[in-house]
Amino acid sequence: MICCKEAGILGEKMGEKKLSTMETFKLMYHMVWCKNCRRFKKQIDWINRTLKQIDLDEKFTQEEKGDLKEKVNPEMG
Amino acid sequence: MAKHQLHPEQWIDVFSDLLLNYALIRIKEREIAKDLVQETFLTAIRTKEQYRGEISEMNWLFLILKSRILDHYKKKKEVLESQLKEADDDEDSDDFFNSTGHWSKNGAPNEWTTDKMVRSAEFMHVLNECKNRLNEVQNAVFTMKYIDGEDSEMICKELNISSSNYWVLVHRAKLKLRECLEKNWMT
Repeated sequence: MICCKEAGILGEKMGEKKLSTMETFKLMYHMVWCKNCRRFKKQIDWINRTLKQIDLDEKFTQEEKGDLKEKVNPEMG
Repeated sequence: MAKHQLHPEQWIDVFSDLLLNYALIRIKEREIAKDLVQETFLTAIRTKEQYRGEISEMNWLFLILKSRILDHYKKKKEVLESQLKEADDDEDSDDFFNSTGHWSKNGAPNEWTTDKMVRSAEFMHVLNECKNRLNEVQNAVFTMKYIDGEDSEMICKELNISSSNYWVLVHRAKLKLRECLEKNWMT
């Protein structure tokens, strides 16, 4: 059986590429038996979905916006 | 006739915060993110004759910023290269796995309770903080892959990373990010 580290990397590749039949079998077999890897995959899938929605609601301060205008506006001609 | 037109005099008021957010999700330091937004506006003004009005001015500004961010990653090539070497070395002293490559006692993931798995604003900040704790190369690769949805081939080409290094890097970035969230949010 492949180790957890190898399973993690194969799982990563599987998200983007088609694995060989042997690689797919090795990964699936590992996942059936490894509770920690199943848990890791579930958590990572959730993180990936969350990352796509990441929003920080950061803003320029009024002072920073003023500085930005001072530097950018003269270029407008 | 062009579908869209430019209104540069409104850009800072209308788009600067949106662009800053976009940059701060991809760049660790606020000062650099601010500079990149400024460069975006300056580039847009200098190249406005090339704007054909086929995409909205907001999308056009975001495209320019995206390109500036990629340039920033590339300028950090030396840092990236040294961190790639560190990542290789790191592989040998792995905290997550034991000598046989299976989860170590401290590295194995714990169960996360569903009540913590909420996408609140507070959580988004913790998530971004954890992402920012990744080293430059991991952060760049991870952002391009999972936030911008670029494929591995493009990322390897742009950042001059070998394919084998890439998969290991992304996997290690995920291990670190997951561990950081577990320590700082889930417990």
